[in-house]
Amino acid sequence: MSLTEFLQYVIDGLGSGTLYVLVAIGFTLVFGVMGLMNVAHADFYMLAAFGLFFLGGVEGLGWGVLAATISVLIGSLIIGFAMFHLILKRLDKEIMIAFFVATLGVSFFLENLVAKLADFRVRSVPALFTTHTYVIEGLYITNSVAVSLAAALIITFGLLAFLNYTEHGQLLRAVAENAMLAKGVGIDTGRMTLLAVLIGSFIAVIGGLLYANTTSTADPFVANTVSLKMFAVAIVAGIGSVGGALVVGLFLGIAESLSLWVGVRGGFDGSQWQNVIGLVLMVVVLMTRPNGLFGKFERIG
Amino acid sequence: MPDDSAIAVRGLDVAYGAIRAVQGVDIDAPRGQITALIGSNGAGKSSTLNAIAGLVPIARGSVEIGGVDATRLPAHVRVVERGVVLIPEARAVFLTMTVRENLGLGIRVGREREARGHKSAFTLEDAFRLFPVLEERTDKRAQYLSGGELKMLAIARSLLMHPRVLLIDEPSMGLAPLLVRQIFAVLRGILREHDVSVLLVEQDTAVALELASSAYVIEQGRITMHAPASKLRGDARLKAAYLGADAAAGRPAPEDAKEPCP
Repeated sequence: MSLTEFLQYVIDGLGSGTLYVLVAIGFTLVFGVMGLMNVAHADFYMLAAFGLFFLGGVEGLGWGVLAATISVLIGSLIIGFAMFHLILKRLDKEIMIAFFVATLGVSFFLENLVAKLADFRVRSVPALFTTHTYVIEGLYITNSVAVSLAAALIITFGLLAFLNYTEHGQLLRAVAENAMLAKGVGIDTGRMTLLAVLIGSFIAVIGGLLYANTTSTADPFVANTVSLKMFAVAIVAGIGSVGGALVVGLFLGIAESLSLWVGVRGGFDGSQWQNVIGLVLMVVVLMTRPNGLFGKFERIG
Repeated sequence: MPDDSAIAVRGLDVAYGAIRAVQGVDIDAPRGQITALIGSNGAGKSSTLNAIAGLVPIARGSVEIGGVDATRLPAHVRVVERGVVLIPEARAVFLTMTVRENLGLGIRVGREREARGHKSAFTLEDAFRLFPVLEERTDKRAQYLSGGELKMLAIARSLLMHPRVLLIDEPSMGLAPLLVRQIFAVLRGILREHDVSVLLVEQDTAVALELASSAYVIEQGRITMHAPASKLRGDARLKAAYLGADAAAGRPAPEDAKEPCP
Protein backbone atom coordinates (compact mmCIF):
# COMPACT_ATOMS: atom_id res chain seq x y z
CA MET A 1 0.00 0.00 0.00
CA SER A 2 1.25 3.35 -0.80
CA LEU A 3 0.13 6.87 -1.26
CA THR A 4 0.72 6.47 -4.97
CA GLU A 5 -1.74 3.61 -5.16
CA PHE A 6 -4.36 5.61 -3.27
CA LEU A 7 -3.84 8.64 -5.50
CA GLN A 8 -4.15 6.45 -8.57
CA TYR A 9 -7.64 5.45 -7.48
CA VAL A 10 -8.46 9.08 -6.82
CA ILE A 11 -7.38 10.04 -10.32
CA ASP A 12 -9.40 7.22 -11.87
CA GLY A 13 -12.35 8.41 -9.81
CA LEU A 14 -11.95 11.94 -11.11
CA GLY A 15 -12.30 10.55 -14.62
CA SER A 16 -15.73 9.06 -13.98
CA GLY A 17 -16.70 11.90 -11.62
CA THR A 18 -16.35 14.48 -14.39
CA LEU A 19 -18.76 12.48 -16.51
CA TYR A 20 -21.33 12.50 -13.70
CA VAL A 21 -20.85 16.25 -13.38
CA LEU A 22 -21.57 16.87 -17.05
CA VAL A 23 -24.86 14.98 -17.02
CA ALA A 24 -25.95 16.38 -13.67
CA ILE A 25 -25.49 20.10 -14.28
CA GLY A 26 -27.86 20.23 -17.26
CA PHE A 27 -30.39 18.13 -15.38
CA THR A 28 -30.21 20.32 -12.30
CA LEU A 29 -30.41 23.51 -14.38
CA VAL A 30 -33.60 22.39 -16.13
CA PHE A 31 -35.01 21.04 -12.86
CA GLY A 32 -34.29 24.40 -11.23
CA VAL A 33 -35.89 26.45 -13.99
CA MET A 34 -38.94 24.26 -14.63
CA GLY A 35 -39.36 22.85 -11.16
CA LEU A 36 -39.71 19.48 -12.82
CA MET A 37 -37.33 16.71 -13.70
CA ASN A 38 -36.65 15.52 -17.18
CA VAL A 39 -35.99 11.82 -16.65
CA ALA A 40 -34.90 11.46 -20.28
CA HIS A 41 -31.96 13.81 -19.76
CA ALA A 42 -29.43 10.99 -19.25
CA ASP A 43 -30.32 9.59 -22.67
CA PHE A 44 -28.19 12.29 -24.22
CA TYR A 45 -25.23 10.09 -23.21
CA MET A 46 -26.63 7.26 -25.28
CA LEU A 47 -27.51 9.60 -28.16
CA ALA A 48 -24.00 11.09 -28.22
CA ALA A 49 -22.36 7.67 -28.28
CA PHE A 50 -24.59 6.37 -31.07
CA GLY A 51 -24.20 9.62 -32.94
CA LEU A 52 -20.50 8.84 -33.04
CA PHE A 53 -21.19 5.25 -34.00
CA PHE A 54 -23.77 5.83 -36.74
CA LEU A 55 -22.32 9.01 -38.22
CA GLY A 56 -18.60 8.69 -37.64
CA GLY A 57 -17.78 4.98 -37.48
CA VAL A 58 -16.94 2.72 -40.42
CA GLU A 59 -19.99 0.60 -39.62
CA GLY A 60 -22.15 3.71 -40.00
CA LEU A 61 -22.01 6.54 -42.48
CA GLY A 62 -18.27 6.93 -42.06
CA TRP A 63 -18.18 10.72 -41.89
CA GLY A 64 -15.19 10.64 -39.62
CA VAL A 65 -14.93 11.63 -35.98
CA LEU A 66 -14.78 15.39 -36.38
CA ALA A 67 -17.87 15.67 -38.59
CA ALA A 68 -19.72 13.24 -36.33
CA THR A 69 -18.79 15.21 -33.21
CA ILE A 70 -19.98 18.48 -34.71
CA SER A 71 -23.19 16.82 -35.88
CA VAL A 72 -23.81 15.42 -32.40
CA LEU A 73 -23.33 18.85 -30.83
CA ILE A 74 -25.74 20.48 -33.29
CA GLY A 75 -28.06 17.48 -33.08
CA SER A 76 -28.35 17.92 -29.31
CA LEU A 77 -29.81 21.38 -29.84
CA ILE A 78 -32.30 20.05 -32.39
CA ILE A 79 -33.35 17.20 -30.10
CA GLY A 80 -33.56 19.53 -27.11
CA PHE A 81 -35.69 21.92 -29.18
CA ALA A 82 -37.99 19.11 -30.31
CA MET A 83 -38.25 17.67 -26.81
CA PHE A 84 -39.28 21.08 -25.47
CA HIS A 85 -41.86 21.86 -28.14
CA LEU A 86 -43.32 18.37 -28.54
CA ILE A 87 -43.42 17.34 -24.91
CA LEU A 88 -42.07 19.51 -22.09
CA LYS A 89 -44.04 22.70 -22.78
CA ARG A 90 -47.28 20.82 -23.42
CA LEU A 91 -47.49 19.19 -20.02
CA ASP A 92 -49.37 20.68 -17.10
CA LYS A 93 -46.67 21.69 -14.64
CA GLU A 94 -49.02 21.22 -11.73
CA ILE A 95 -49.22 17.49 -12.36
CA MET A 96 -45.75 16.29 -11.48
CA ILE A 97 -46.47 12.63 -12.13
CA ALA A 98 -47.58 13.38 -15.71
CA PHE A 99 -44.26 15.03 -16.36
CA PHE A 100 -42.37 12.15 -14.81
CA VAL A 101 -44.23 9.51 -16.79
CA ALA A 102 -44.06 11.42 -20.07
CA THR A 103 -40.31 11.95 -19.91
CA LEU A 104 -39.85 8.35 -18.80
CA GLY A 105 -41.79 7.39 -21.93
CA VAL A 106 -39.49 9.51 -24.08
CA SER A 107 -36.55 7.76 -22.48
CA PHE A 108 -37.93 4.26 -23.20
CA PHE A 109 -38.81 5.25 -26.72
CA LEU A 110 -35.38 6.68 -27.54
CA GLU A 111 -33.49 3.82 -25.92
CA ASN A 112 -35.43 1.10 -27.67
CA LEU A 113 -35.44 2.88 -30.99
CA VAL A 114 -31.67 3.21 -30.90
CA ALA A 115 -31.27 -0.33 -29.57
CA LYS A 116 -33.30 -1.63 -32.51
CA LEU A 117 -31.20 0.35 -34.98
CA ALA A 118 -28.09 -1.06 -33.33
CA ASP A 119 -29.42 -4.65 -33.33
CA PHE A 120 -29.60 -4.63 -29.55
CA ARG A 121 -25.86 -4.75 -29.20
CA VAL A 122 -23.27 -2.67 -27.47
CA ARG A 123 -21.20 -1.15 -30.26
CA SER A 124 -17.70 0.17 -30.31
CA VAL A 125 -17.23 3.79 -31.25
CA PRO A 126 -14.34 5.54 -32.93
CA ALA A 127 -12.04 7.39 -30.53
CA LEU A 128 -12.24 11.18 -30.38
CA PHE A 129 -8.49 11.36 -29.98
CA THR A 130 -5.62 8.95 -29.50
CA THR A 131 -5.24 8.04 -25.88
CA HIS A 132 -1.90 8.74 -24.28
CA THR A 133 -0.93 7.74 -20.82
CA TYR A 134 1.52 9.90 -18.95
CA VAL A 135 3.44 8.61 -16.00
CA ILE A 136 4.05 11.31 -13.45
CA GLU A 137 5.68 10.35 -10.16
CA GLY A 138 4.49 6.82 -10.65
CA LEU A 139 0.89 7.89 -11.35
CA TYR A 140 -0.78 6.92 -14.60
CA ILE A 141 -2.72 9.82 -16.03
CA THR A 142 -4.46 9.51 -19.36
CA ASN A 143 -5.15 12.47 -21.56
CA SER A 144 -8.83 11.49 -21.67
CA VAL A 145 -9.12 12.00 -17.90
CA ALA A 146 -7.33 15.33 -18.25
CA VAL A 147 -9.62 16.42 -21.09
CA SER A 148 -12.76 15.34 -19.20
CA LEU A 149 -11.68 17.16 -16.08
CA ALA A 150 -10.83 20.30 -18.02
CA ALA A 151 -14.19 20.13 -19.83
CA ALA A 152 -16.11 19.73 -16.57
CA LEU A 153 -14.31 22.63 -14.91
CA ILE A 154 -14.58 24.98 -17.89
CA ILE A 155 -18.25 24.17 -18.48
CA THR A 156 -19.24 24.45 -14.81
CA PHE A 157 -17.49 27.76 -14.23
CA GLY A 158 -18.59 29.05 -17.62
CA LEU A 159 -22.21 28.24 -16.79
CA LEU A 160 -21.90 29.86 -13.36
CA ALA A 161 -20.47 33.01 -14.96
CA PHE A 162 -23.29 32.99 -17.51
CA LEU A 163 -25.95 32.64 -14.81
CA ASN A 164 -24.48 35.29 -12.54
CA TYR A 165 -23.11 37.90 -14.89
CA THR A 166 -25.27 37.99 -18.04
CA GLU A 167 -28.77 39.29 -18.56
CA HIS A 168 -30.10 35.97 -19.84
CA GLY A 169 -28.48 34.26 -16.88
CA GLN A 170 -30.30 36.59 -14.54
CA LEU A 171 -33.59 35.92 -16.32
CA LEU A 172 -33.03 32.17 -15.90
CA ARG A 173 -32.38 32.68 -12.19
CA ALA A 174 -35.55 34.75 -11.96
CA VAL A 175 -37.68 31.99 -13.50
CA ALA A 176 -36.06 29.40 -11.24
CA GLU A 177 -36.78 31.40 -8.10
CA ASN A 178 -40.33 32.48 -8.84
CA ALA A 179 -41.87 31.74 -12.23
CA MET A 180 -45.06 33.65 -11.51
CA LEU A 181 -43.22 36.81 -10.56
CA ALA A 182 -40.90 36.32 -13.54
CA LYS A 183 -43.92 36.50 -15.86
CA GLY A 184 -45.06 39.56 -13.97
CA VAL A 185 -41.81 41.36 -14.74
CA GLY A 186 -42.21 40.66 -18.43
CA ILE A 187 -40.06 37.54 -18.77
CA ASP A 188 -41.12 35.00 -21.37
CA THR A 189 -40.79 31.97 -19.11
CA GLY A 190 -41.37 29.53 -21.96
CA ARG A 191 -38.41 30.94 -23.87
CA MET A 192 -36.23 30.78 -20.78
CA THR A 193 -37.19 27.13 -20.21
CA LEU A 194 -36.24 26.37 -23.80
CA LEU A 195 -32.89 28.09 -23.23
CA ALA A 196 -32.27 25.96 -20.14
CA VAL A 197 -33.18 22.77 -22.05
CA LEU A 198 -30.84 23.69 -24.93
CA ILE A 199 -27.95 24.47 -22.58
CA GLY A 200 -28.56 21.25 -20.65
CA SER A 201 -28.75 19.13 -23.83
CA PHE A 202 -25.58 20.63 -25.23
CA ILE A 203 -23.60 20.06 -22.03
CA ALA A 204 -24.98 16.53 -21.71
CA VAL A 205 -23.81 15.44 -25.17
CA ILE A 206 -20.36 16.81 -24.43
CA GLY A 207 -20.39 14.51 -21.40
CA GLY A 208 -21.78 11.72 -23.58
CA LEU A 209 -19.04 12.13 -26.19
CA LEU A 210 -16.35 12.00 -23.52
CA TYR A 211 -18.03 9.02 -21.87
CA ALA A 212 -18.13 7.16 -25.19
CA ASN A 213 -14.51 8.07 -25.75
CA THR A 214 -13.47 6.81 -22.33
CA THR A 215 -15.33 3.53 -22.62
CA SER A 216 -14.98 3.18 -26.42
CA THR A 217 -18.50 1.81 -26.46
CA ALA A 218 -22.04 2.84 -27.30
CA ASP A 219 -24.58 1.09 -25.09
CA PRO A 220 -28.28 1.72 -25.82
CA PHE A 221 -29.13 1.37 -22.15
CA VAL A 222 -26.26 3.31 -20.65
CA ALA A 223 -28.80 5.78 -19.23
CA ASN A 224 -29.85 3.17 -16.68
CA THR A 225 -26.61 3.66 -14.77
CA VAL A 226 -25.97 7.25 -15.80
CA SER A 227 -29.36 8.50 -14.66
CA LEU A 228 -28.84 6.90 -11.27
CA LYS A 229 -25.67 8.96 -10.78
CA MET A 230 -27.41 12.00 -12.24
CA PHE A 231 -30.22 11.87 -9.68
CA ALA A 232 -27.81 11.18 -6.85
CA VAL A 233 -25.48 14.06 -7.74
CA ALA A 234 -28.26 16.60 -8.40
CA ILE A 235 -30.19 15.71 -5.26
CA VAL A 236 -27.19 15.50 -2.94
CA ALA A 237 -25.86 18.80 -4.29
CA GLY A 238 -29.27 20.43 -4.07
CA ILE A 239 -31.57 21.03 -7.03
CA GLY A 240 -30.43 24.00 -9.07
CA SER A 241 -26.92 24.07 -7.65
CA VAL A 242 -24.50 23.95 -10.58
CA GLY A 243 -21.38 24.47 -8.48
CA GLY A 244 -22.64 21.87 -6.02
CA ALA A 245 -23.08 19.36 -8.84
CA LEU A 246 -19.40 19.80 -9.71
CA VAL A 247 -18.26 19.12 -6.15
CA VAL A 248 -20.64 16.23 -5.51
CA GLY A 249 -20.09 14.67 -8.97
CA LEU A 250 -16.33 14.57 -8.51
CA PHE A 251 -16.73 13.34 -4.94
CA LEU A 252 -19.01 10.50 -6.07
CA GLY A 253 -16.58 9.45 -8.79
CA ILE A 254 -13.71 9.38 -6.31
CA ALA A 255 -15.76 7.57 -3.65
CA GLU A 256 -16.76 4.89 -6.13
CA SER A 257 -13.20 4.41 -7.23
CA LEU A 258 -12.00 4.18 -3.65
CA SER A 259 -14.54 1.43 -3.01
CA LEU A 260 -12.54 -0.63 -5.50
CA TRP A 261 -9.38 0.22 -3.63
CA VAL A 262 -10.91 -0.78 -0.31
CA GLY A 263 -12.00 -4.02 -1.97
CA VAL A 264 -8.48 -4.71 -3.18
CA ARG A 265 -7.04 -4.02 0.25
CA GLY A 266 -9.73 -5.94 2.08
CA GLY A 267 -9.85 -8.88 -0.27
CA PHE A 268 -13.40 -8.50 -1.62
CA ASP A 269 -14.93 -7.34 -4.87
CA GLY A 270 -15.38 -3.59 -4.37
CA SER A 271 -17.06 -3.11 -7.74
CA GLN A 272 -20.23 -4.64 -6.29
CA TRP A 273 -20.43 -1.71 -3.90
CA GLN A 274 -19.80 1.01 -6.44
CA ASN A 275 -23.38 1.74 -7.39
CA VAL A 276 -24.54 1.60 -3.80
CA ILE A 277 -22.49 4.60 -2.74
CA GLY A 278 -24.47 7.18 -4.66
CA LEU A 279 -27.77 5.83 -3.39
CA VAL A 280 -26.64 5.67 0.22
CA LEU A 281 -25.32 9.22 -0.07
CA MET A 282 -28.65 10.31 -1.50
CA VAL A 283 -30.68 8.74 1.29
CA VAL A 284 -28.45 10.10 4.04
CA VAL A 285 -28.50 13.62 2.62
CA LEU A 286 -32.24 13.56 2.03
CA MET A 287 -32.78 12.54 5.65
CA THR A 288 -30.54 15.22 7.08
CA ARG A 289 -30.65 18.07 4.56
CA PRO A 290 -33.71 17.67 2.30
CA ASN A 291 -32.67 20.60 0.13
CA GLY A 292 -29.25 19.10 -0.56
CA LEU A 293 -25.82 20.17 0.57
CA PHE A 294 -25.64 23.34 -1.50
CA GLY A 295 -29.30 23.63 -2.29
CA LYS A 296 -31.75 26.25 -1.44
CA PHE A 297 -34.51 25.13 -3.73
CA GLU A 298 -35.73 27.90 -5.99
CA ARG A 299 -32.24 29.01 -6.67
CA ILE A 300 -29.94 28.16 -9.54
CA GLY A 301 -26.32 28.98 -9.97
CA MET B 1 -65.93 55.56 -23.39
CA PRO B 2 -62.88 53.46 -24.18
CA ASP B 3 -60.62 56.53 -24.11
CA ASP B 4 -61.27 57.23 -20.46
CA SER B 5 -61.03 53.67 -19.30
CA ALA B 6 -57.65 52.27 -18.29
CA ILE B 7 -59.02 48.83 -17.48
CA ALA B 8 -62.38 47.46 -18.57
CA VAL B 9 -63.31 44.03 -17.27
CA ARG B 10 -66.47 42.41 -18.66
CA GLY B 11 -68.20 39.31 -17.32
CA LEU B 12 -65.00 37.89 -15.87
CA ASP B 13 -65.03 34.32 -14.58
CA VAL B 14 -62.02 32.73 -12.93
CA ALA B 15 -62.17 29.10 -11.86
CA TYR B 16 -59.70 26.78 -10.16
CA GLY B 17 -60.98 23.34 -11.05
CA ALA B 18 -64.49 23.18 -9.66
CA ILE B 19 -64.02 26.25 -7.48
CA ARG B 20 -65.39 29.40 -9.08
CA ALA B 21 -63.39 32.20 -7.51
CA VAL B 22 -64.72 35.05 -9.66
CA GLN B 23 -68.13 35.17 -11.35
CA GLY B 24 -69.32 37.71 -13.88
CA VAL B 25 -67.22 40.59 -12.62
CA ASP B 26 -67.43 43.96 -14.41
CA ILE B 27 -64.92 46.66 -13.53
CA ASP B 28 -64.09 50.00 -15.11
CA ALA B 29 -60.99 51.66 -13.78
CA PRO B 30 -60.94 55.25 -15.08
CA ARG B 31 -57.74 56.59 -16.51
CA GLY B 32 -55.50 58.58 -14.20
CA GLN B 33 -57.32 57.52 -11.06
CA ILE B 34 -56.93 55.10 -8.22
CA THR B 35 -59.71 52.55 -8.12
CA ALA B 36 -60.06 50.15 -5.23
CA LEU B 37 -61.41 46.63 -5.14
CA ILE B 38 -62.33 45.78 -1.58
CA GLY B 39 -63.53 42.60 -0.05
CA SER B 40 -62.77 40.09 2.64
CA ASN B 41 -60.32 37.23 2.52
CA GLY B 42 -61.25 34.80 -0.25
CA ALA B 43 -63.73 37.12 -1.94
CA GLY B 44 -61.90 36.91 -5.27
CA LYS B 45 -59.91 40.16 -5.19
CA SER B 46 -56.51 38.71 -5.95
CA SER B 47 -57.93 36.34 -8.55
CA THR B 48 -59.46 39.30 -10.37
CA LEU B 49 -56.17 41.18 -10.25
CA ASN B 50 -54.16 38.16 -11.40
CA ALA B 51 -56.59 37.56 -14.26
CA ILE B 52 -56.13 41.16 -15.43
CA ALA B 53 -52.36 40.63 -15.27
CA GLY B 54 -52.69 37.37 -17.23
CA LEU B 55 -51.28 35.23 -14.44
CA VAL B 56 -54.35 33.04 -14.00
CA PRO B 57 -56.45 31.76 -16.91
CA ILE B 58 -59.66 33.61 -17.72
CA ALA B 59 -62.50 31.09 -17.89
CA ARG B 60 -64.99 33.55 -19.40
CA GLY B 61 -65.28 37.26 -20.08
CA SER B 62 -62.86 39.84 -21.38
CA VAL B 63 -60.21 42.29 -20.25
CA GLU B 64 -59.52 45.52 -22.12
CA ILE B 65 -56.48 47.65 -21.42
CA GLY B 66 -56.69 51.22 -22.66
CA GLY B 67 -59.66 50.28 -24.80
CA VAL B 68 -57.92 47.40 -26.59
CA ASP B 69 -58.71 43.74 -25.90
CA ALA B 70 -56.01 41.87 -23.98
CA THR B 71 -57.95 38.78 -22.90
CA ARG B 72 -55.79 36.27 -24.75
CA LEU B 73 -52.39 37.91 -24.33
CA PRO B 74 -49.77 36.04 -22.28
CA ALA B 75 -48.68 37.79 -19.08
CA HIS B 76 -45.25 38.90 -20.29
CA VAL B 77 -46.79 40.46 -23.42
CA ARG B 78 -49.29 42.40 -21.29
CA VAL B 79 -46.36 43.76 -19.30
CA VAL B 80 -44.12 44.71 -22.19
CA GLU B 81 -46.66 45.82 -24.77
CA ARG B 82 -49.55 47.10 -22.66
CA GLY B 83 -47.75 48.27 -19.56
CA VAL B 84 -49.87 46.20 -17.18
CA VAL B 85 -47.74 45.82 -14.07
CA LEU B 86 -48.78 43.84 -11.01
CA ILE B 87 -47.31 44.29 -7.55
CA PRO B 88 -48.20 41.03 -5.79
CA GLU B 89 -49.10 40.89 -2.14
CA ALA B 90 -46.37 38.43 -1.19
CA ARG B 91 -43.14 37.29 -2.81
CA ALA B 92 -43.07 40.45 -4.88
CA VAL B 93 -39.29 40.58 -5.31
CA PHE B 94 -36.60 38.03 -6.13
CA LEU B 95 -35.13 37.24 -2.73
CA THR B 96 -31.96 35.55 -4.01
CA MET B 97 -31.07 38.64 -6.03
CA THR B 98 -29.59 41.92 -4.91
CA VAL B 99 -31.57 45.15 -4.79
CA ARG B 100 -29.67 46.28 -7.88
CA GLU B 101 -30.56 43.09 -9.79
CA ASN B 102 -34.22 43.42 -8.86
CA LEU B 103 -34.30 47.02 -10.05
CA GLY B 104 -32.41 45.93 -13.18
CA LEU B 105 -35.30 43.65 -14.12
CA GLY B 106 -37.59 46.69 -13.99
CA ILE B 107 -35.19 48.81 -16.04
CA ARG B 108 -35.01 46.03 -18.63
CA VAL B 109 -38.78 46.19 -19.18
CA GLY B 110 -38.65 49.99 -19.17
CA ARG B 111 -36.07 49.87 -21.97
CA GLU B 112 -38.16 47.45 -24.00
CA ARG B 113 -41.22 49.65 -23.57
CA GLU B 114 -39.27 52.71 -24.54
CA ALA B 115 -38.16 50.93 -27.70
CA ARG B 116 -41.86 50.47 -28.44
CA GLY B 117 -42.41 54.21 -28.04
CA HIS B 118 -43.81 54.39 -24.51
CA LYS B 119 -41.99 57.32 -22.98
CA SER B 120 -41.65 57.73 -19.30
CA ALA B 121 -39.23 59.81 -17.32
CA PHE B 122 -39.07 57.65 -14.21
CA THR B 123 -35.42 56.73 -13.75
CA LEU B 124 -33.25 54.90 -11.27
CA GLU B 125 -32.33 58.27 -9.74
CA ASP B 126 -36.03 58.98 -9.22
CA ALA B 127 -36.39 55.59 -7.56
CA PHE B 128 -33.52 56.33 -5.20
CA ARG B 129 -34.89 59.81 -4.47
CA LEU B 130 -38.24 58.26 -3.67
CA PHE B 131 -36.79 55.49 -1.51
CA PRO B 132 -33.28 56.51 -0.36
CA VAL B 133 -32.97 53.33 1.69
CA LEU B 134 -32.78 51.30 -1.54
CA GLU B 135 -29.67 53.16 -2.62
CA GLU B 136 -28.00 52.32 0.69
CA ARG B 137 -28.83 48.66 0.14
CA THR B 138 -28.08 48.28 -3.58
CA ASP B 139 -25.71 45.36 -3.21
CA LYS B 140 -27.64 43.58 -0.47
CA ARG B 141 -29.58 40.45 -1.27
CA ALA B 142 -33.29 41.17 -1.03
CA GLN B 143 -33.73 38.38 1.53
CA TYR B 144 -31.99 40.62 4.06
CA LEU B 145 -34.42 43.53 3.63
CA SER B 146 -37.24 44.37 6.02
CA GLY B 147 -40.87 44.01 5.02
CA GLY B 148 -41.22 47.72 4.33
CA GLU B 149 -38.03 47.80 2.27
CA LEU B 150 -39.25 44.83 0.21
CA LYS B 151 -42.47 46.70 -0.54
CA MET B 152 -40.52 49.80 -1.58
CA LEU B 153 -38.29 47.68 -3.80
CA ALA B 154 -41.32 46.14 -5.50
CA ILE B 155 -42.90 49.55 -6.06
CA ALA B 156 -39.65 51.06 -7.37
CA ARG B 157 -39.13 48.16 -9.78
CA SER B 158 -42.72 48.45 -11.00
CA LEU B 159 -42.40 52.19 -11.68
CA LEU B 160 -39.18 51.58 -13.62
CA MET B 161 -41.19 49.32 -15.92
CA HIS B 162 -43.02 52.39 -17.31
CA PRO B 163 -46.47 51.10 -16.41
CA ARG B 164 -49.73 52.41 -17.88
CA VAL B 165 -51.74 50.42 -15.40
CA LEU B 166 -50.56 49.44 -11.95
CA LEU B 167 -52.30 46.57 -10.20
CA ILE B 168 -51.42 46.64 -6.51
CA ASP B 169 -52.37 43.73 -4.28
CA GLU B 170 -52.81 44.68 -0.60
CA PRO B 171 -50.47 47.69 -0.39
CA SER B 172 -51.14 48.02 3.34
CA MET B 173 -50.29 44.40 4.17
CA GLY B 174 -47.34 44.26 6.52
CA LEU B 175 -46.72 48.01 6.43
CA ALA B 176 -47.23 50.62 9.11
CA PRO B 177 -50.26 52.75 8.23
CA LEU B 178 -48.12 55.88 8.36
CA LEU B 179 -45.72 54.40 5.82
CA VAL B 180 -48.61 53.44 3.52
CA ARG B 181 -49.82 57.04 3.61
CA GLN B 182 -46.34 58.39 2.94
CA ILE B 183 -45.77 56.03 0.02
CA PHE B 184 -49.10 56.89 -1.55
CA ALA B 185 -48.59 60.62 -1.03
CA VAL B 186 -45.47 60.35 -3.18
CA LEU B 187 -47.02 57.80 -5.51
CA ARG B 188 -49.97 60.08 -6.33
CA GLY B 189 -47.65 62.72 -7.73
CA ILE B 190 -45.80 60.16 -9.83
CA LEU B 191 -49.00 58.59 -11.10
CA ARG B 192 -50.33 61.98 -12.22
CA GLU B 193 -47.04 63.02 -13.79
CA HIS B 194 -46.65 59.77 -15.73
CA ASP B 195 -50.32 59.16 -16.48
CA VAL B 196 -50.52 55.86 -14.62
CA SER B 197 -53.86 54.39 -13.56
CA VAL B 198 -54.15 52.16 -10.53
CA LEU B 199 -56.40 49.32 -9.52
CA LEU B 200 -55.67 48.29 -5.97
CA VAL B 201 -56.99 45.47 -3.91
CA GLU B 202 -57.43 45.98 -0.19
CA GLN B 203 -58.76 44.10 2.75
CA ASP B 204 -58.46 47.19 4.91
CA THR B 205 -61.53 49.13 3.79
CA ALA B 206 -60.54 52.33 5.59
CA VAL B 207 -57.15 52.45 3.88
CA ALA B 208 -58.63 51.64 0.49
CA LEU B 209 -61.30 54.35 0.69
CA GLU B 210 -58.72 56.87 1.80
CA LEU B 211 -56.42 56.16 -1.16
CA ALA B 212 -58.92 55.59 -3.95
CA SER B 213 -61.36 57.88 -5.69
CA SER B 214 -63.87 55.10 -6.31
CA ALA B 215 -64.29 51.56 -5.14
CA TYR B 216 -65.87 48.24 -6.00
CA VAL B 217 -66.91 45.82 -3.31
CA ILE B 218 -66.54 42.14 -4.12
CA GLU B 219 -68.22 39.39 -2.12
CA GLN B 220 -67.95 35.68 -2.87
CA GLY B 221 -66.67 36.35 -6.35
CA ARG B 222 -69.31 38.91 -7.34
CA ILE B 223 -69.34 42.70 -7.37
CA THR B 224 -71.97 43.86 -4.92
CA MET B 225 -71.33 47.61 -4.77
CA HIS B 226 -69.69 50.32 -6.82
CA ALA B 227 -69.56 53.97 -5.78
CA PRO B 228 -67.25 56.95 -5.30
CA ALA B 229 -65.03 56.47 -2.26
CA SER B 230 -66.48 59.53 -0.54
CA LYS B 231 -69.91 57.96 -0.62
CA LEU B 232 -68.73 54.54 0.54
CA ARG B 233 -66.89 56.03 3.53
CA GLY B 234 -70.20 56.64 5.27
CA ASP B 235 -71.96 53.53 4.00
CA ALA B 236 -73.61 51.58 6.79
CA ARG B 237 -73.81 48.36 4.80
CA LEU B 238 -70.07 48.41 4.14
CA LYS B 239 -69.37 49.08 7.80
CA ALA B 240 -71.59 46.20 8.74
CA ALA B 241 -69.78 43.87 6.37
CA TYR B 242 -66.26 44.85 7.31
CA LEU B 243 -66.33 45.95 10.89
CA GLY B 244 -67.68 42.65 12.13
CA ALA B 245 -71.29 43.67 12.58
CA ASP B 246 -72.41 40.64 10.56
CA ALA B 247 -72.76 38.23 13.41
CA ALA B 248 -74.64 40.74 15.50
CA ALA B 249 -77.07 41.29 12.66
CA GLY B 250 -77.57 37.54 12.40
CA ARG B 251 -76.32 37.43 8.83
CA PRO B 252 -73.78 34.77 7.85
CA ALA B 253 -70.31 36.22 7.59
CA PRO B 254 -68.74 36.30 4.13
CA GLU B 255 -67.27 32.95 3.26
CA ASP B 256 -63.73 32.73 4.48
CA ALA B 257 -62.46 30.18 1.98
CA LYS B 258 -58.80 30.69 1.19
CA GLU B 259 -58.15 31.80 -2.34
CA PRO B 260 -55.62 29.66 -4.17
CA CYS B 261 -52.49 31.75 -4.00
CA PRO B 262 -50.72 31.42 -7.30
